[in-house]
Amino acid sequence: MRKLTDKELQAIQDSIRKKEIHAAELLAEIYDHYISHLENYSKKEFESELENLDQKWSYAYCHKIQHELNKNINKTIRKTQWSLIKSYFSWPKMAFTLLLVAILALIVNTLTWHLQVLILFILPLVYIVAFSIILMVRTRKKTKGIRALFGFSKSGILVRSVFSNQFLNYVALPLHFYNLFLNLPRVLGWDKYVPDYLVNYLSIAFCFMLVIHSLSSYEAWKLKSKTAFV
Amino acid sequence: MSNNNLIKGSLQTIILKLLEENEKMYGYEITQKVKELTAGEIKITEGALYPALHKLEAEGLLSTEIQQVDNRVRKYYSLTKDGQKEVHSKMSELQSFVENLQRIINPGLNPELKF
Repeated sequence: MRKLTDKELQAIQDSIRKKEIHAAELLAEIYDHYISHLENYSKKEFESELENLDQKWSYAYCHKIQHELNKNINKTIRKTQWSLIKSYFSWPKMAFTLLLVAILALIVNTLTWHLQVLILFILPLVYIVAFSIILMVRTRKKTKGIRALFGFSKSGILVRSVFSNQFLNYVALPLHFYNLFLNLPRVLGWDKYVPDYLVNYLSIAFCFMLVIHSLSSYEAWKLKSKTAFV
Repeated sequence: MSNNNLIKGSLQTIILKLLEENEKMYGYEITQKVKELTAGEIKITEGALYPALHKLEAEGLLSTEIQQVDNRVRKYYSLTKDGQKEVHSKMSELQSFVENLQRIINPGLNPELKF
């Protein structure tokens, strides 16, 4: 095994850039695979071995793996988050869930309309936006090395973490829910037909889901951030 | 025994078994270990290995760990608790498949015979 020269490393990077991969996770894995393989060959054999690798890691094959990686990471996050959500409905976390419902019910029945809006909707939404920003900043920091080698300035491809992308989609989910169930009826004028007592129950249900979703997303992120570019 | 279809069918079992014995491994290391153990008779292609690793990770059977190695990032795979359980079930599944295959290949063998 030998250490590759800067020129050889540059040749490897150029080869990988041609594959136009945007997933930071995959780029890191391919780069390591190329180097680990080529370190076992002499300078003379370098070019032919690099060509062999390029044939195995063809453009189409890399994009197929990237597509499957997207699906698998989505599945991983969904599975992790779902198991966390289930844990909120079993002891000892169940105590927290019941306490949350009790607090929400108390808030709805005692606070003024404006304070209810602030506490039940604005605060969780601010939390989601802040969490998304932290997620983006952390991901940028973690993918800095990969982006420096294969990023936009070198290849014209926007390199990003698939984990981070999928996480952001999940974190933003309540915003779509908010638009669909609260803004859309208001735009269409359907909100007049909903009685006040039902609005209160809907507020509690929406806020409850928002808090559970935010907490489980945060916990899932904490778990995955130890091992992923997120 | 370098038939790709046969290897494809048992790739997940091979990966799980190797990880059971080696605690943590990275992609290239797995291909080399298989090559070494089978004296080059079985070569796991990158085309099959990485999708299988990603799938096993998504199923919760493998966990990953990222380490900095010589100015690059290396992704190590290791078994989760579910993965450890799965190794045993996959191995006995494979074992009974091989036994049945032996009986088909050698019809003269006693069906009760255990390998």
